[in-house]
Amino acid sequence: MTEYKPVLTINIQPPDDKKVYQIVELKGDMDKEGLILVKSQLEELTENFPYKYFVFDFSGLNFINSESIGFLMALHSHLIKSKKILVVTAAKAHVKDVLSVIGILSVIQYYDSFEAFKQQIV
Amino acid sequence: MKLFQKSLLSRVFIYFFLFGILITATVFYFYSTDQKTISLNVFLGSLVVFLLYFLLVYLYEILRPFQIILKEIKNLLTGRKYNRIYTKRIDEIGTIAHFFNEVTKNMEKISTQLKEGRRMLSELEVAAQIQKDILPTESPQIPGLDIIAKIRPAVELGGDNFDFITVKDNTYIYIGDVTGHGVPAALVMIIVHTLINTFVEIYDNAFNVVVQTNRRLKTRIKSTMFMTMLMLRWNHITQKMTYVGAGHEHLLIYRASKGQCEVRMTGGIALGMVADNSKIIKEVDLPLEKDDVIILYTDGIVEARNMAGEMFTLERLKKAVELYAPQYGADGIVYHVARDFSRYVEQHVQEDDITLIAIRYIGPNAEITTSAAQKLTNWADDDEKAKLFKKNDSKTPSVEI
Repeated sequence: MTEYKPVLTINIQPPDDKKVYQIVELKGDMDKEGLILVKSQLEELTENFPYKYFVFDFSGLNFINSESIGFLMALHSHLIKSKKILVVTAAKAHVKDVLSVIGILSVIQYYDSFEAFKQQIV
Repeated sequence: MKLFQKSLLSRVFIYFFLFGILITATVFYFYSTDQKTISLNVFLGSLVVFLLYFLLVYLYEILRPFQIILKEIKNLLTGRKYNRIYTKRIDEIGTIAHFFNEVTKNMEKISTQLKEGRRMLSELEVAAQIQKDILPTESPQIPGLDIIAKIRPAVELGGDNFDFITVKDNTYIYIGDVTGHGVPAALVMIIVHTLINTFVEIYDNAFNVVVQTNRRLKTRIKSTMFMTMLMLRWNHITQKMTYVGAGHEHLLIYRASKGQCEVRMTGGIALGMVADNSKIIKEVDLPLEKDDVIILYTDGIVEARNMAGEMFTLERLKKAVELYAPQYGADGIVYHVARDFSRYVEQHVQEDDITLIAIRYIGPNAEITTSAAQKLTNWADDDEKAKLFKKNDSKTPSVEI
């Protein structure tokens, strides 16, 4: 039996036409190893983020650990300093449960679908 | 040309050149003084001078520098004190001398790093010991409750923590999990431990203890770090249990009357996430009946993976508790759940700290006698230990009222 190897892929989409938001898709397991794979890319992206909303599409995310949630909190804290907003959308039940248990959903904006987020900003 | 300049040959060439000038000067002298022949003595004398010249050149330019280098190399290899070799030469001898200097310089650097590493390792051991000393080494004896706790950090220093603090009529039982593990997590754990031990002396409810702990913690940790916590408060007089959740894992309550586990979300928000959590958290009543069991755990258990990458999950933990809670006391439940857990994850590397606490309500003011070995809070996987836990052995006979 081969040992389990976690995989996390990141897809950074171009901003929308009105340049209001940018979507970042994460697919796989956001655990210790997964976080290492995407951390620097996300830090770089949020460093001087030019749009209002930084949107995470979690529809492809199967797992998130507390360390990754800590990282999300750090991104949120960084973005909020420049009046930018971190948004999480479409998390699977287990991932949403973990986010909810830790209480991060009372700090960051969450929408059950991307459409719900779009309706909100309209 | 450059190669020639950097070679020992260039020196030999210079000495031959000087030698050539000497010969030419000698021959010129003889011709100018019209001496066609020379005596044997003069010839032999000149030969001796020439030989001495070459001998001195060989001694000072080749043999002596090599001896100096060899001596220092020997000193280095035999562990004796060695010196740097200073030279301006850039030929083969100079190259060897510079190579020796570079090697010794790097060795000194490595040696310093090793010493520093040993010092840091020793400090890490001290820190790990301090952390171990902070965590309770034994589960406490609390009237009405049978408590067993076990912890296993993933590395020397962990982020999981728990404590049992009795102040007047209240016993506070908390379990916490700092993001990640290692030195930063251990430091946060120690801060929280200190704050909680301070605030339980000031306030008589878990709500204020958690609010004040969060308030002080938030200003002292960076934004990537937080600690999830679940604090229970057991009042000895009223025999009532309450809890305050701070973003921790679900609370598992085995209801003896139903033979099933109730899963409650603990609510709240992790400590250190917001400056003021007083509007988010609340102290909730947790009614208990005799033989009900509360299970506290950290995510290291439910998120642990086996070799196939499958997680242990809350569902497996719940089923294990439902299987063992009717058969064993708190020690037996923790032992068997821990054993099932270890068998499930097999040899998969432990990525996170794991903590498991079982609290069984044994009835008003009842006390349970647990052996010293069972009370120890370090995690054991030994199958042989199963022999200690016979069915119902610690449930009824050992209860003292």
